[in-house]
Amino acid sequence: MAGIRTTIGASKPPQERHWLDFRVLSPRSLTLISFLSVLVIWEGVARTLGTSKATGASILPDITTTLSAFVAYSNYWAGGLGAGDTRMGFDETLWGATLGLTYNLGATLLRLVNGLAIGLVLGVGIGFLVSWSGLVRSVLAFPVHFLRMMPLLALIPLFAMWFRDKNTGSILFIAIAVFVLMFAATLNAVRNVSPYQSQFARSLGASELFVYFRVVFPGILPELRSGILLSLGFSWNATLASEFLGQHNGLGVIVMNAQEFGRMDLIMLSAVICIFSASLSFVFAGRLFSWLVRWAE
Amino acid sequence: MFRNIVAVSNSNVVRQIAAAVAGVALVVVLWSFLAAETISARIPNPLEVVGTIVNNFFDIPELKYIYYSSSGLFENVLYTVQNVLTSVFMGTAAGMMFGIALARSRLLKWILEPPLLVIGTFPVVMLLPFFTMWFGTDRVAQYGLVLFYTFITVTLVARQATLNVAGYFEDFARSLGASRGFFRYRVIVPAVVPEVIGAVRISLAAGWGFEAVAEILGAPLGAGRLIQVFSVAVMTADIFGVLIVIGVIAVITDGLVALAGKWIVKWRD
Amino acid sequence: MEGLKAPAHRQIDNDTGDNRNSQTLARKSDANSSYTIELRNVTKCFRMETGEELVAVDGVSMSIRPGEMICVLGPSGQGKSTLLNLIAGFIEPTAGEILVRGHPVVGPGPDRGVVFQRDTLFGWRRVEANIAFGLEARGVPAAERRRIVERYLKLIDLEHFGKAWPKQLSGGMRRRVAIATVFANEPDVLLMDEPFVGLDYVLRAALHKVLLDLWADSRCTVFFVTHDIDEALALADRVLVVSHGRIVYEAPVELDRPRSAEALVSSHASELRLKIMHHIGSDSSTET
Repeated sequence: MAGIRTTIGASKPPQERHWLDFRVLSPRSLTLISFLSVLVIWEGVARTLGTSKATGASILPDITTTLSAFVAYSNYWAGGLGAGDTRMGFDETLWGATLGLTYNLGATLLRLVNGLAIGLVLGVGIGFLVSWSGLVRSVLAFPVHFLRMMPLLALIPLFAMWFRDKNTGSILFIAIAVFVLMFAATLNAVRNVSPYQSQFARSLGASELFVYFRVVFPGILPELRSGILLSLGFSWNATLASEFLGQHNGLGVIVMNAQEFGRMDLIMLSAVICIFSASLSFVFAGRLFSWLVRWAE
Repeated sequence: MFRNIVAVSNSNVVRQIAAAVAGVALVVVLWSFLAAETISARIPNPLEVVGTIVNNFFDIPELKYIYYSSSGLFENVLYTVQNVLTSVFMGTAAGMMFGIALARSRLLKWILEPPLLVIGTFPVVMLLPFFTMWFGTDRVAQYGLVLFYTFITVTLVARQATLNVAGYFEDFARSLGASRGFFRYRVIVPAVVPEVIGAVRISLAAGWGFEAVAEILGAPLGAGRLIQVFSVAVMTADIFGVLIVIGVIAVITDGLVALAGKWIVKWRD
Repeated sequence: MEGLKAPAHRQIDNDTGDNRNSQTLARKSDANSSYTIELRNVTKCFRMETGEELVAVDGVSMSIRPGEMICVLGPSGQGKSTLLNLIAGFIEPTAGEILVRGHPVVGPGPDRGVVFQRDTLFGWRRVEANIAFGLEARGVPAAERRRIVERYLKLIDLEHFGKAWPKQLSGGMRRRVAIATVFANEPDVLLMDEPFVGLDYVLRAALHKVLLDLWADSRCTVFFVTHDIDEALALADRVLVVSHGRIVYEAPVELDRPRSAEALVSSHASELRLKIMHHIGSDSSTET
């Protein structure tokens, strides 16, 4: 058969390689180059299109402008530890900005982690206990599905209303939303359990209770990965959204404030910091979970 | 054979529906109990909530004094539904094409893949200030979040699905003389579609929430806006009403997408 | 929760007139001999989703003496595994009785250990914790557990792999761990459902040796389901052929242990092989 070509892997003879053959480069350098090109594109777009021709307002600030917005974070530090409260007339300083950013980002992260942790533990715990009975599982399946489909983010104003302390309200909101997600994930995981391992355990003399908690539970853990990562993603959105809608501190509060003052550069910088924090949190969560289920294939 | 299908679906579906009904009944009972323990402003009881849905359908009596024309549940929900469905549709179409292209074009992959994987973890609500600054409270701002999220999610899924297929079949198909175009349409798309359906369902579920937040923060119309207005006026029962209506629509659309998925898979097979 | 200790068993008369079984076992035996496993006219029907009924096991009666190794052969999907699951207690018979050491079977238990075809090792437990699983579940103290685990690790030749995760082991090693896990529990009966399917010949021979060593050590009764005639001839004291849910053939394997390669091609073995093949291909209406 004429014209058969097999193109398996990177096994082309050297003279056939195109000059733009990227398989030569290692994955690390590829990633680096790709991020660099993103930066280049950013700078390019910012300089050409970044300022509105009509109003002169900044649409996309360029890299230097964004970075120089850093000092503005000192406006979100209430003073102390060597930096003064800018509302009292003190200057914006780099140290103040560092404090301001750390404090607010920390507040956001604290809210997030609290809500996430509570939701995870309760969601998986109660979900698992409830899943003991197949009947209860099938009865609860639809209501849980419905709750998941409801636009939970829209409940934020409700929670703000219910709780005097907005921070508690926010954490509880995240916890409840994560609870619903993980509850559903756990129910599903238990439903998908293959009976063979449990039968094996029973034939070794384990009681039904022993099997449920010491065999079924560890067995479903790997399957909870996607639920946990989805919960993390949701928690980020929920935390930021609740800060947009009114909190005392947090990155989201800064962004809303910056929006009011039209400070595009500060918004951009906060978004970049947000990208970093979020992806780092995912990497961390992924690694932690992988360690937890390191025995899984 | 037809008899068999009917027999199977009867037993299983009937059981599932019975369970669902039982579940809803259980929740309603629990809810009423909770509601009885506290005031209506905190937790309204189910009947109240249903009442608000009926009352608010075409216009909202309580708000007529505050806003000149306050459209009812129907109009607002319609706005939200239109936004969400359109954005998801556009995001899916764009995402599929982009995802498949990403998997098959080395250049695109080279430049765009690492940032894409990072963006996959980005909290989408962070885009709201940008959209507000750029578009004010135009409808585009409401599309934006859902579109972005759907696009990213579908792209990632389509890309992964294409990579899975390409691994297995590409060499085999090419050695049989398949051209690029043939391969793309007859092999890749059918393999990718089932995975994408899953991604669409996820995007839809998240989309309702994102859309609501976008509307809360500034929209002329929409379920989110209604919720915001009700919150200010402490009309809790009405808030619940809106949520349930959207919830029902969300469940129905999710079911329809799932069904479409099954149908597509069957047809391809 | 040690294995059930039954009183000495009276002889039962299996001549119940069910003449569809071509050969049932041990109709006349000495008084006071006890059987480890007894099936009396056991039937198992499944209702399919289509509404049809499938008769997986059809009026089977059998008796197995203590310490016997029985291999059950037969075409796929015709009742072998169902029989095993019935004895194990995972499913209940539609009719008939199943007795293990004189007591009716009411569910799974440590007196009947099972080794499945698929890998059922507990991935989150290291090898030693796997072997100790049954002991732990039954409350055996830690020092005793450790002693037993060490002994079995030696017996299966995995002395240095106690701390390994199952995922780090090869397929053959995992099978060994699974077998050790069950033997460590000292069951009266060992039920094996095609445990060595898909493994290559050499590996299988090695695992046969492991099984036979452990069996010689414990002298439990073994009920081994397989579709491989050679495997059955290599292992069994007696061979049963199950077809269409009924026992269609039964014969003792009169070869000395340990069974050499020569023994397995002897005239007795070849004769058995032919008879078995004939019955595997037959339905109950043609009898030898």
